[in-house]
Amino acid sequence: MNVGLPHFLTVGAILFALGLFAVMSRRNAIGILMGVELMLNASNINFVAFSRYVEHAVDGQIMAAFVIVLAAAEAAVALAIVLAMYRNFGTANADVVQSLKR
Amino acid sequence: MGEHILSWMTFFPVIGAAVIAFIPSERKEIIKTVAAAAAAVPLILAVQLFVNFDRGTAAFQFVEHYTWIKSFNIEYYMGIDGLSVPMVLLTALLSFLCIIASWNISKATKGYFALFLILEAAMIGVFCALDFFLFYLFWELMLLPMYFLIGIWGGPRREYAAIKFFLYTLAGSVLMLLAMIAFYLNVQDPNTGGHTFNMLFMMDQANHSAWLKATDIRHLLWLGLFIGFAIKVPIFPFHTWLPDAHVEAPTAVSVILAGVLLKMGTYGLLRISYPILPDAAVWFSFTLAIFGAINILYGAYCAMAQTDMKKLVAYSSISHMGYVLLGMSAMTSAGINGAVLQMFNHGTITAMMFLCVGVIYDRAHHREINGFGGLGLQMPLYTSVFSFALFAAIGLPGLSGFVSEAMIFIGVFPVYRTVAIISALGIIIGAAYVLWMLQRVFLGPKNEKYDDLPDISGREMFTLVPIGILVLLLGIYPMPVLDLMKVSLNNLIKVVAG
Amino acid sequence: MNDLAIPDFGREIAALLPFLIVAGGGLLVMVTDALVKTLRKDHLSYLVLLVLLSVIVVQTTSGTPEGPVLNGLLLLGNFSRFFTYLFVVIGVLTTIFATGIFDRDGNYRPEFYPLLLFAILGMMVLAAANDLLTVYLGLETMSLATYVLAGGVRGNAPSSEAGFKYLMLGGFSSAFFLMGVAFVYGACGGTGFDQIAAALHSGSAPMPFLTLGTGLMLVGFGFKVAMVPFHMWTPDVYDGAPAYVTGFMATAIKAAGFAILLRFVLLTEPMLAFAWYPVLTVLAVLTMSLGNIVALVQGNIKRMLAWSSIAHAGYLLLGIVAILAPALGGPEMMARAKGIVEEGGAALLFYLVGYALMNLAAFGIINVMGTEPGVDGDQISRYAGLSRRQPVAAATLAVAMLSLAGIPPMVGFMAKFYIFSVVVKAGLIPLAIIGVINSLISVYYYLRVIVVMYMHDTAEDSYQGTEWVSVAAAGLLAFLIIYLGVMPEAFHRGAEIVFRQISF
Repeated sequence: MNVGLPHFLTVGAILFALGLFAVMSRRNAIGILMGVELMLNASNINFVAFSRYVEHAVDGQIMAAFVIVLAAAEAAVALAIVLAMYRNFGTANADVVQSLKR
Repeated sequence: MGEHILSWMTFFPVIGAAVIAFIPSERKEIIKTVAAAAAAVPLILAVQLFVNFDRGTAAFQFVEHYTWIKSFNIEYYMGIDGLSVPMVLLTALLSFLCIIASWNISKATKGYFALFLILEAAMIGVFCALDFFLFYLFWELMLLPMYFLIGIWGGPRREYAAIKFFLYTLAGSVLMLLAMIAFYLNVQDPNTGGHTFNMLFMMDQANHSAWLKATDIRHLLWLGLFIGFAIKVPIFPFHTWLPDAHVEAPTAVSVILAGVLLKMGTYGLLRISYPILPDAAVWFSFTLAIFGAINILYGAYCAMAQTDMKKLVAYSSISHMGYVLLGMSAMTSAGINGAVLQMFNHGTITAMMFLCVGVIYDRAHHREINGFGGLGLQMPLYTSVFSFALFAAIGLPGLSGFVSEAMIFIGVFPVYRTVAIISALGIIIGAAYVLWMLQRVFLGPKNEKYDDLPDISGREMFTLVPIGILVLLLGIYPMPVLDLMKVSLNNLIKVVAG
Repeated sequence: MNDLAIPDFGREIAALLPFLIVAGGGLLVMVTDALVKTLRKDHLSYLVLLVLLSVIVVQTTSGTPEGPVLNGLLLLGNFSRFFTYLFVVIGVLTTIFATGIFDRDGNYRPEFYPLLLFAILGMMVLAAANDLLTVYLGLETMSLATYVLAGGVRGNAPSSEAGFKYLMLGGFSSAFFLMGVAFVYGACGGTGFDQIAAALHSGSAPMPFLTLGTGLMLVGFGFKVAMVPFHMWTPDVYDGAPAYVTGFMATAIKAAGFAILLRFVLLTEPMLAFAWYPVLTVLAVLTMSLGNIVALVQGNIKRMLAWSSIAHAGYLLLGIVAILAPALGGPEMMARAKGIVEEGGAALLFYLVGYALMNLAAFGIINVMGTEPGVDGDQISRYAGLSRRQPVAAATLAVAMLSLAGIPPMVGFMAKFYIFSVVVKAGLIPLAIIGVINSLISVYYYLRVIVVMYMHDTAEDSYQGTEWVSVAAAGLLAFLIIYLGVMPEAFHRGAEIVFRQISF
């Protein structure tokens, strides 16, 4: 079997869908975060695949490198905020933390 | 001041308001004096206008013309003709007298007089503006002080009344805004070829684009403007804000509301709708006559049922504005001249009535017609002044209301005979509710609760007497006002009716 | 990214100086706070103000080079400069508001200052972006900083909840955005705006990838500007975050979001106008209507302003729709297209500035009204009688409300007038009518605040808080609101010139 662009895109799409599912179904803040990370990585696969099969240059790979760095930064910020929330509410469950709803 | 007389009239009150803002709020006497002085200046200038106004031309006079917002071709364009002069005079007079009539306002005096002066500025601005955008701006600017004046210094349900007033009027002016933008995009400035807000260019049909020449569009625009102005007049069924606003507003604000603000609706129709869309005006004229008749009868009928004096006067205003509409719809010289004269006369007469209601309210703290009785003996001077105003309102010959109503009927009768005859019933109902109220308040057994009610004071007389003299003079000899407007209005009729 | 050329480093550095100052300033403030233990906390704010003012000075005096820098990653010129000024001014006011409240309550958030500068840096990058890479970088820099700004108040539960919600939905939306970027990149074979434009003009880009990609990117933009249906975070986050941060988010993030949305729409317009136009029309109408209707029932002024900010995003979208309309019209429309596009763009920029002024004025007052430390003045009912207790604050808030409602002679009226007249000019009369009806609805809830302040009597629980520097700053904004409402001409002209740079 010849592995080509469609295969990579399919993997990316599946990964994206899984991430989306995780975000939608998880109640725990960390679980949601993991879903978001999956979605980001799905884009990374697409970037690299497009860079290999469409552009024939490295722009997409550079982009992917940036995304990895930013995702790490985002995870750090996210964990800090989740921690702060845990301190205030005693839980990291997104459904329980609803004090702002009137 | 000679050159920029209209700007001075418009903006001097604003200067007064700015000065008031810097006076400490405990110095109430100084605030009131400054306010009176700031309102006196436009009055003096109005007299100067009256003297210097050239009665022989339909052209705009005292014109001031400057570029303001160039990219949209918006101009600071002020000027007056025979249609606006009586309104400007009325505004300047009533504003001054209302400041005097508000002398005993004790709650947040500073804010009250500052807002009142801004209101005066906006009203004069509306009557002088010849650029549609400027007109709209003054029109909206008028809303804010009015809203606060009703909402802060009003009666118990003031909040509701203020918001209702604001939303109703705003809804109307939004329609006007859309029509304005449509005109702006479809009227060509003959000098530059660009879009324009200049009303004079809009009035020249040659400047209209093909889109604006289509009959459907013209009718649609007319209706948009009509609803906008109808809310202000107010024309049934857009009138429901008026009784609420009047009942809650303090006396002086009621006077301005009925005396000047209502006139803006009919003024707008005559200044904007008629000359810019004359064919639509003709198309609509019979409907307008019907609206007029409904206003006359409905207003009078409702007035009959009121037990609150102020509400009664408010509904009588609706009725009297119906005469204006009726006169306008005829598009005859007598009809339109009568209508504008009626605008002026109603302004003065209704001002007297509201001031008189205010006098009794200040003393008895209520306005229930059935709660009084036999006041004629207790307050003879007051009784005679109030009766004078009421007789003027029912159009007693010799008083000004008679002249304008007669002119209106003379103008309408040949055109819409049936409508005129039906409307004439309004006069009878009018006489009925007025006389009935007179009887219940001033005649009959004396209510002992009010044994120590003092008669009308000198300050109150000072506000009423000048208007009374005007009502009497114009009833005997209306020519001073008719002369002012005749040429312009006849020119308008020529434009509209061809 | 274009073929790598050897850049002229002197020119590049000079061009990037404003960015470098903000970035370096952020680091400096952070390090100063950590190392100089003797420094009084409130002196940090002077450092921040110094950094921001030096950006203005540098940008005004140095005559920044126009055109692309860093191999086309950024596009400098009037457009980026305009937004830099806007962000810096918003930053200055936010610093004043925040410091005022820190001082009053004696409760400092030292991390606030560097994060504010980093957020501004991200926004500046976003407004200058000329490549999807820089768009993403700018977006994330801005977002990461604001997540913490909103959620980082220690021991404050609403704040941490707001930060959490903002972060979750923000991360979620930027994942969509990134996926969209990937597809656009795949369709056009490059991430540079020039490459994308070239691919679109040659028609070589495959349509499915392109529509999918831009559609996903729209989710990201929509989230940042609080567009329906990506608005769910707005009320909670605006409510939970401290008012000085909310004011910053409501004005600067919205401006940055619209800056990049405008650029991207104009970039892809030649090929995608047919798709953008109906989608944005529907979303604009939904955004306006939902925002205004839900705002009617809010008793919390921050939530009310959140819904109002959604509604205002709808008005702004109307401007974008008007810009797109000519591309779809017949030949008669095309002849007028340039005028409409330029006026639409100018109206949009004018609106963003006016909106920033009035919202900052409102949040500046809300910020200081709270009676207890750490709690903003957010209950509308507790504003009762404010006009008698604090006439300046009440008048300022009243001016802001009237301007938001679009009542002349405030700037909000002129801003709406410009937008609606361009919408009418583009022939979209029904849209203009919907917009006008919406702004009519909005008058009701804005007026309610004024009613409470001016027509209700002081009650036992009425707000007593104050802080005069913030009130003075907000009062100055109120003055500007009226000034720009009466004299909009010069500014509107300027906006037109600014916009011309990016209208291809």
